[in-house]
Amino acid sequence: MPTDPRGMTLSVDSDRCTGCCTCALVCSFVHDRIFGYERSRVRVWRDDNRGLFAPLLCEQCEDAPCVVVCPTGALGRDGQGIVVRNAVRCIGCNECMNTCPLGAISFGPGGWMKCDRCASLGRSPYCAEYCTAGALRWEPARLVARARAREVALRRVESQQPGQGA
Amino acid sequence: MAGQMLFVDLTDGGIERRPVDRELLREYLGGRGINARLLWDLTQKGLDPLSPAAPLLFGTGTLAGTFAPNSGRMTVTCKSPATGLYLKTNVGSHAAPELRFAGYEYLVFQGKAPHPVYLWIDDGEVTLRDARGLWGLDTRAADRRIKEELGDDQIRTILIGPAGENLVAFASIMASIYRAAGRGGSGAVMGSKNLKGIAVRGTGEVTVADPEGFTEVALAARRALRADEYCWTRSYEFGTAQGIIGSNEGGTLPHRNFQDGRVADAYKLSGEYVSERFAHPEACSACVFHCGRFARIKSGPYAGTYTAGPEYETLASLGSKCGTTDTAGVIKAGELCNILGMDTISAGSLVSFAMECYEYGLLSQKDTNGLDLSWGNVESILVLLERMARREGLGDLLANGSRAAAKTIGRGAEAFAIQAKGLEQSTVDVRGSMSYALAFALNPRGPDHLMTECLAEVGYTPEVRRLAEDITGTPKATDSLSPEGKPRMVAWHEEIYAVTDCLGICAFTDTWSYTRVNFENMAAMFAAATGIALSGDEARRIGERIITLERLFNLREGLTREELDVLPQRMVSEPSPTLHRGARTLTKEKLDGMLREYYVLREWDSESGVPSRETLARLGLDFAAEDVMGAR
Repeated sequence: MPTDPRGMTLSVDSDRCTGCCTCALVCSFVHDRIFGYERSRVRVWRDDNRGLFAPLLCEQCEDAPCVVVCPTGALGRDGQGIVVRNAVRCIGCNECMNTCPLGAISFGPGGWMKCDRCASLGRSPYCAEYCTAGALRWEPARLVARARAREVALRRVESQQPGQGA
Repeated sequence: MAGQMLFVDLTDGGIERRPVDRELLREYLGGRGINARLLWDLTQKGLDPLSPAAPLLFGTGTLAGTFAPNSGRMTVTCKSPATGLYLKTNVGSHAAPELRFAGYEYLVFQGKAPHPVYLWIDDGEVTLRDARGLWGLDTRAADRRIKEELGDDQIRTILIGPAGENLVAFASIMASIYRAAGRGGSGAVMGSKNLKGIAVRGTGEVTVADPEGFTEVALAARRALRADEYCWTRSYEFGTAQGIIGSNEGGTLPHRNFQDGRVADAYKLSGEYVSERFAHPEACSACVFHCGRFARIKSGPYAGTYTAGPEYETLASLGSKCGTTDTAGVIKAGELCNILGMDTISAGSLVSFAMECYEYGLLSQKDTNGLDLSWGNVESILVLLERMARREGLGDLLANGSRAAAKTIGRGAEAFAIQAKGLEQSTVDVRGSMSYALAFALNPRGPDHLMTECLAEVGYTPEVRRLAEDITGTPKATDSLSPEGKPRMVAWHEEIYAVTDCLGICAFTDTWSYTRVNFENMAAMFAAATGIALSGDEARRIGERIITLERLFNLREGLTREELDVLPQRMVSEPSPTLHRGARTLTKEKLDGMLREYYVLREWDSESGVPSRETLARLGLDFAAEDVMGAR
């Protein structure tokens, strides 16, 4: 989970996702002034039958496979740790899309599309700002591990209470 | 915003696209409003709701697909097979945005397919496909089969279950399996057309006329709702059933078919309990509240049950109203209603009606094929739900709705049918609230809170109390047993509900936030989205136009105010023992007084409740005058 120079990161927590897709609507709008689930850099996969939802977006992988496979070196990392594309070098071969383990790169009607954590807009990610359920969070990276550790610790402590089995 | 209307003639398979008329949009705002006008134009007096000629309309809200708060909804409109009157029913999920991303805002179905079909909307490509293999399947199985057949699990479906196929009077249309356009039997209309469902995939876009203006208003509204304790925290944490405990304390949680209004262990039906033990939050498109639940049962006799819900109405209707607080049992009953495609409100009403008939000996074990319909018998509830959907045994009789069933049973069974105009009342005990009583009586589709919920009467915050006083001009506005100011209270709520339904905004947005989403910012969002100028006052007037047109539909059918503006018999003739120590809180005289004041307020005739020609002219409804006056 790479972080930007300020130590902030975009956490993705599917357990909290309620499937409202506000992230996708906000994303498509702030970047392209349109609304569309499929026109967004973040997509919410919905299993209607089982009521399960997962937001999917570029997590700016540390050793990013898309950067590795790009035959023209069009993909690289900017000063803020965001995986970015040099449009002049890009030949549109789709290798990055085919390789991305998260399915987070797409070629839509507007061309190549991938989350840049709103760096191109010069601000923190919009999606996290309007995710009311807390499934997408823009937060200090150092707190992420601490929060996770706390969750696990509480679960363990509680399971030690006498007579309080699951 | 360049969506189209899709006209589908199921008889000959013809599919025609027409642009949405901007003049119609200006006059009716979209969704519910445009549907109401289309239904008026496409329906003649006396039309059989289940005949091929009867239209079935789907109208997405004008803001559906955008990030306007809670805006992903759609209105289904038709003539109701339960009441024979106007029916509008509203549904969330993600179906409406998906339709708009595919390029369609309205679907108009007429005719009857020669065999079961479903409509497949794949962006620009629209085809009718054979659904003979899907007929008889529940919504869950049909949804799975369609997704497999079309090879895409991100398709959204809008389906009927076996209940709709079997023309059950309270069959619902289900979006994404579990979200219901529930009331009034629209599912039976769909079934009568041999239309099993709609599958839609939209990968396109929705645009707005003024992106900067739209962003400013819509996102400010989102932030205001998110910052509101009542809107956000309570609805996210506990869902709609957050209100169960309060209703029970107030003595208005229906128990045993509204015989009284309190149960001993109501906490087991509460949103707090359900959310803690069974369910997590789930949301419709662009929602800020996330009141939806998704429940799973992991142990006990109903282990393996999973479904969206249960909502307040499901818990009260299939729970306390049927004499049980068995949480898991009610969730199971809710799952059955969802996959069989039945309205949980009416289905619960039919069960509790049958149970009361059973209690008083109007139905015997012989009539029930051995089923023990004692209050609270969960196993019997589940069996009866299946039988209603499949029209087996007693279920066949109950599937016609409580008005028809009571008539067949006779011997006073009418008193146990908590219905008016043919629609079963939702689980609000109107004996405890005069504005609800008036709104329920006036509701063109029948007695429920989902057209006009006057929650301001409860005055749950100082801000809401102030608003209630502003609307009505009297401090008695929040005195729930006083008729004073209630006609104004109802008129205001009717209008704001109409506007939210047109825009596709969830009705809870008004009543859980009031001042945060209002006529002004809804009008501003409409104007920014469509490029059609609109003020808050104009939006309100359009709300009045829609309310009046809906009434005209019912008047055209030839009904009088005595037939239209009524409540279930029990509500006006029997006091509830749990309300004010059994005092008579609501009487026919009290209701009639409020009605008369309301007619005057609306500039309708104070005696007949028929809008005058001048009123119709003022509202731009002149076109309806001849048909309505001719029906008198």
